[in-house]
This record gives sequence, C-alpha cells and structure tokens, in this order.
Amino acid sequence: MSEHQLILLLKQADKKALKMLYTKNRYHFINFARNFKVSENDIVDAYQDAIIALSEKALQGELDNLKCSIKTYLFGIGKYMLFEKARKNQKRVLDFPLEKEDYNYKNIAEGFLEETPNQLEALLQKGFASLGKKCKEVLRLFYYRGFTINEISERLGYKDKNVVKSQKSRCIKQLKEKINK
Amino acid sequence: MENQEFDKHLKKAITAEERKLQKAYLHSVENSLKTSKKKFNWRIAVSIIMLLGLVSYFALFNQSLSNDELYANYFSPYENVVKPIVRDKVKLTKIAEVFSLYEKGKYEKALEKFNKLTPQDAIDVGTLNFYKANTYLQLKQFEKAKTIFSETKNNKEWNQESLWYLALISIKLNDSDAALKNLHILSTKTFKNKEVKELINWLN
Repeated sequence: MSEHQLILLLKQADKKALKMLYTKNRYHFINFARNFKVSENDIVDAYQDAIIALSEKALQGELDNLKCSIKTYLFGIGKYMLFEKARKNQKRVLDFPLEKEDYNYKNIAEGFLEETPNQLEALLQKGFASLGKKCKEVLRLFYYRGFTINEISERLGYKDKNVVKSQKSRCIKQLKEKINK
Repeated sequence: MENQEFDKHLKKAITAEERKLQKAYLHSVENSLKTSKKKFNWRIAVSIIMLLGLVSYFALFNQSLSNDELYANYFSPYENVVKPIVRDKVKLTKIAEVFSLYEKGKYEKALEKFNKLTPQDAIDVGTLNFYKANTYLQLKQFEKAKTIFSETKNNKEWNQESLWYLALISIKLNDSDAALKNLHILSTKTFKNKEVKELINWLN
C-alpha cells in the first residue's frame, strides 16, 4: 500500500489502516525512544498519543499533501510527546540537534496534550457516551470530524439536510437534559 | 454567543471521548502484539501437530470432519475490543469490570453483569448484545446465543461477526444448510474470508 493510500484510509477513519500504521512503526519508535530515558509504559503511551494525533490530522485533511514520509511526521510528533513525558518525570533529556522540521511538531503535540476537559466538558463527555448510536454518529461527524450538515446528510444517506439539522438539535437537547439531571 | 461557547465545550468533550476510544483500541492492538509474541512458538508447534494429525487422520480413514469437530476447529471467542483490562480493581468501571471478566473467561459472572448493564452505562446496545451472545456461546447455550446474534446481525457494526457465529452455531446444531446460507453471504465480505471459504468447502 502506498503512503498516499494509507493517508486516504486514515482520512476515512479506517481502523485496519490505523492498526497497520501502529504495528508497522512500533518497533522503530520504541528503539528511537530509548534516548529519552522514559519507562516502557510511557513510551507506549506517547506512541499511542502520537498515532492518534496523526490520525486526527489525517481526518482533518491536513496530510493530503504531506511533504515528508508518514514515519517522519509520526516520529516528529512522538518526539515532543516523549519530551513531555521526560519533563513530567523531571528527567534530563539528551540534547537533540536542531533539525529543520517540515511541520511544527511541537505545536501539534502540545495542542494535543493540553486539552484536558474541564468539569462541564467531562459531564458532556459522559452524556455523549451514553447517547444512542445515531445521535453519536451525527454529533461525532459534526464536532470531531468537522463535517458540514450537507456532508453529513450525504454520508448518512438522508434525502434532506433539514433531517440532519433537526436530528442534531434533538440530540443536543437530549444531551443537555442528561447533564442537567 | 452562548451557543458558540457550548459548541466549543461539546467539541472538546467529544474529542476527549473519541480519543479515549481510540486509545482503548490501540491498547487492544498492543496487547494482541504482546500475546502473539509470547505464544508464537507454541502456536506454531500446535498448528504443526494439528496439521499432521489431520493429514494422518484423512490418510488413514479418508473421512470428512464431523460438524462437532468443524465447530471446535473454527470457533474462537471474539476478542474484547471494548475496554482493555485494568489491573487496578478500584478503578474498574462497571463496563471495564464486565469485559475484564469476559476476557478472563469467567463467563457466568460476566453474563450476570452483562444483564445488569443498560445504555445509561455508556455502552451501545448492539455492542452489549454482541458480547452477551458470545458469552452464551461460551456457556454452550447455543439457542440463546443464536437468538441474540440474529438481532445483532442487523447492526451494521456487528453484521459480519454475527453472521460468522450464526454459521458456527448452525454447524454445531447440525444444520449445514443454514450454515452454508450465512457463509455464502459472508464469502462476499471481508471478515474471516479465508476461514469462510474453507468451511464452505468442508460443508459442500
């Protein structure tokens, strides 16, 4: 499978592609991460976060014209995830030569890690998880995948975008009721 | 403005939930890599022994496998992809607890807990029923498993998996025609494609 095909599959949230990306680069990443003097658990955790961050960028279409290999992009993000782990454990990290980076991996990693939900968001998260499958699908496509109402109605095979609109409002109403209980 | 603010919070909440699910999925991938590494050698050994056994069996008796043997050869419990096992007991949520029981093979206890779960426990009904049916299967309550798989096969997410287990149940219950019907539907799809074709050959 070419890199471009893999990105296209990741863009469609294909789980097998995600698994392939994970298994293909895992061994190299773990070896690469040994320089950071963090525990094996932390390495795996950082690796998984980097994989998820990369898959989100693919979903958002930001990897459509990737200027480097997927591996370089993944390791770029992963490196800063590892820095963060080492910093939390107050370990001194070996100095890395400053390389020219095609993307601002530091921002991507920090953006990913800083988003801890506040109290309201934690409630919303719990409420969302308990919604029915249809509601979850519509809200996930809109808020996580960034689909427009038109794109959602096409994706879910609705004839009329107004159906999606009212479905979305119904789901949000349900969600609000859940968190106000 | 209020709506915009709410949207922002909701986006973060859904993102957090999606990341949690992705992480659980990657944990299960990680675990399967570790287990397959550990079991690698003896798995090969067992496969070779089984293969030699089968070959000599056919060479000696030139018979076909009984339905019970087919079922035993092809059945394996569906792996838990919902919640990875959490070792720390205090932190076990209701769902994690039931899937941990399932993963450890404590099916009677798991069934008891499955029956107490509701959609309020943040689990999709289709997923809940699919694993419940698997638990019945483990407890050899084939008719009960069959009833539930017949429902979950209408669920897009569990369609192929449910058809596979329905086919295995039909084999176990000596209804090869029903098994073939489901296997033929599956043969055009992706799930366990190789095994599906093998089973069709056996049954024909």
